[in-house]
Amino acid sequence: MDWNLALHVISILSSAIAIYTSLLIGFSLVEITLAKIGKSTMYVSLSFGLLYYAAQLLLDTNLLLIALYAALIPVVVFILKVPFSQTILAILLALIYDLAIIKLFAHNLFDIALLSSDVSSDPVIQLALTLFVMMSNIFISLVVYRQSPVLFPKRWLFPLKDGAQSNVYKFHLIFIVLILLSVILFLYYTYTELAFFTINYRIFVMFWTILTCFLLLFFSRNIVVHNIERIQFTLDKEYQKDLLSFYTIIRSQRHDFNIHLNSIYGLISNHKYEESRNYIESVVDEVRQINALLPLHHPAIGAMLSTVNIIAMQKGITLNFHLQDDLKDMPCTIYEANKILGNLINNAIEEVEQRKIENSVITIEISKEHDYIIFAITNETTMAEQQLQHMFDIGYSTKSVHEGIGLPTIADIIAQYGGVLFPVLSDGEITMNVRIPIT
Amino acid sequence: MKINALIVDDDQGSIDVLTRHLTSFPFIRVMDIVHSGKDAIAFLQENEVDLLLLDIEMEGMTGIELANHVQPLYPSTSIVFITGHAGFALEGYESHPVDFLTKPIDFQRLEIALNRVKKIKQPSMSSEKEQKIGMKTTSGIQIISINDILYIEKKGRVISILCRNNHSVISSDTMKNLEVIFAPFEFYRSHQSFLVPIRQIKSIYPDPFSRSYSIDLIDSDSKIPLSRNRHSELKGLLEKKGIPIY
Repeated sequence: MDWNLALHVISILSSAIAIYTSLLIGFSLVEITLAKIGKSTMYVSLSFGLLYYAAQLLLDTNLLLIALYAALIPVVVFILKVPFSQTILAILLALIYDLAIIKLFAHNLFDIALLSSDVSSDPVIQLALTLFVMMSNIFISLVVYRQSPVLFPKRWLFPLKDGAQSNVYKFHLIFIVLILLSVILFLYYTYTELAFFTINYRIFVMFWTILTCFLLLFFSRNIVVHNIERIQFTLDKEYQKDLLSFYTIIRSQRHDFNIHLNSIYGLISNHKYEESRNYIESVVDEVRQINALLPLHHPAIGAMLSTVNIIAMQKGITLNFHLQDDLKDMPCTIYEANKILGNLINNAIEEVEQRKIENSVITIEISKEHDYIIFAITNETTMAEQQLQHMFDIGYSTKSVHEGIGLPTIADIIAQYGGVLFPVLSDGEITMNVRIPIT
Repeated sequence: MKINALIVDDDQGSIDVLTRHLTSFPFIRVMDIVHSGKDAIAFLQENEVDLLLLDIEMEGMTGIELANHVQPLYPSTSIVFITGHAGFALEGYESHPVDFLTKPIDFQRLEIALNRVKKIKQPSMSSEKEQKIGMKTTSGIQIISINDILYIEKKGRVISILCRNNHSVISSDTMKNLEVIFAPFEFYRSHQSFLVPIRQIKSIYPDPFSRSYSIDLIDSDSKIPLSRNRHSELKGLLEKKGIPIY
């Protein structure tokens, strides 16, 4: 009787630990910071272990396991506050671990050992089995907690909300979920029918399953990684256009040297001093625009800023670049930095344009201060304070023809790097401040 | 009070442009123009200079070498680099100049640079503009005047920004983010759950019961706890601003 009670308690603990280990592995594989949710995961696992054990006493069906993990999805989304797509993948991976390693490997191994040595199962042996599984789970969860291996990086799960690109991401995500589901289907069926297989087949199935699972998982991972690289590549291509025109401007400025020299010489020889002065001023102005952007470490950022500058000039808006740092240590990718800067400057240009502020100047400051990269984009505004209230909401825009997607997107990027984005109003000017910590 | 400036440049052309531009800034007084790093060092030994307008490419000692030499000796002297080579900017950032101008000098950029120098040299002279900040709250962005903020407190899970007239705003940001946001406005994280504007600090005194410190505010009766390990840091900060603490 005492043995039975102990067995009950141990069983509850064991299933709680099994759930905890599975969840940890699932979370780790989709790059959720374990330290952040480890504790709450423990409470969730404990209560679900208890529930699972109670349910097992009432209903004797393997479907319970599937139901358990299905029930975990809303809990993880709402209580642990993990985004939905990450949750789905994490839970599927957790279930695969539970079925493949705990149920099909550990339990099966023990069963086979018992069967082949003709020992009938009694509570003590049951207890030993449970303890063995429990210990191995604790060991695995410790390793996972320390190493936190990642299979599907977060960056892939949360692509920039880019319209065209996000459809490709979505397709791949669904594809991978389908692969995982079919793996689970196979594991589940094998697990339910296991008792009817011959011992040899059971041994074979055990090892074959684990091998196949690993192969499939790594195959899907490779698809994901490849996908990230491909998209990065297309993005780089988009920049080449900007870069080319930037280089063309620089090259032609150097190349035009002879022409300029000739023109100035001609003007001065003819004693047209005022004209030569004006001529030099126009040349100097042009050179200055490029010189301001040359110190930047990444040419692609300079190229983007120069393109924006040309667009602004055509609209009669002056962009004042104030570079105090070359962005060498910037933690985000060049694409993301360009997205942040480009969006903020475009917003400023559009606002100035819409409010019909004449001869407007937009100041762009890039600097570094106490391990923070700082962007500050300032423009004149007549915006009322109330209008600012919803500036970060998706779909909100003060512009008449605009979908209002810029700010929420860049706020997301900045938040990913632990940075902040905030507006400061002073004296008819609005400054959008970005501070990103250098890691 | 005028700002005493020394121009160090070996190119007469750019000196001419610079001096012509400088005539438009009455608060700048050009004491002298020297043509090499050596002359500059000699001049600095004799005179008190507030601002060095420093060319980087010079014969003998470069501007950057000069800056590295001068900075520890005359920490109160501000440096503005002026260079024909945009690439030099890279090395120049290391010696913490107030600004970095590229030749040909742009008048507007020079104005920004000189205003920065002015702000450093004469903090009281530059008029304080009223700045308002957009804070994330559960109902969107709320605009708060920075001067109105008395302190920021985290109670349980709720972070509230307490302002004058018993007005308060619940922020939906984290304490860490708020610390970053308010750092340029001279706010100090005195305690894990408190952020105070330094200009609001009236006095700091030891708390005999908890063996830590408390801060009294100028415009509020609330006492703000100051962690023991942050006491010396805050003391240093205040001393830097010219407020001695005993």
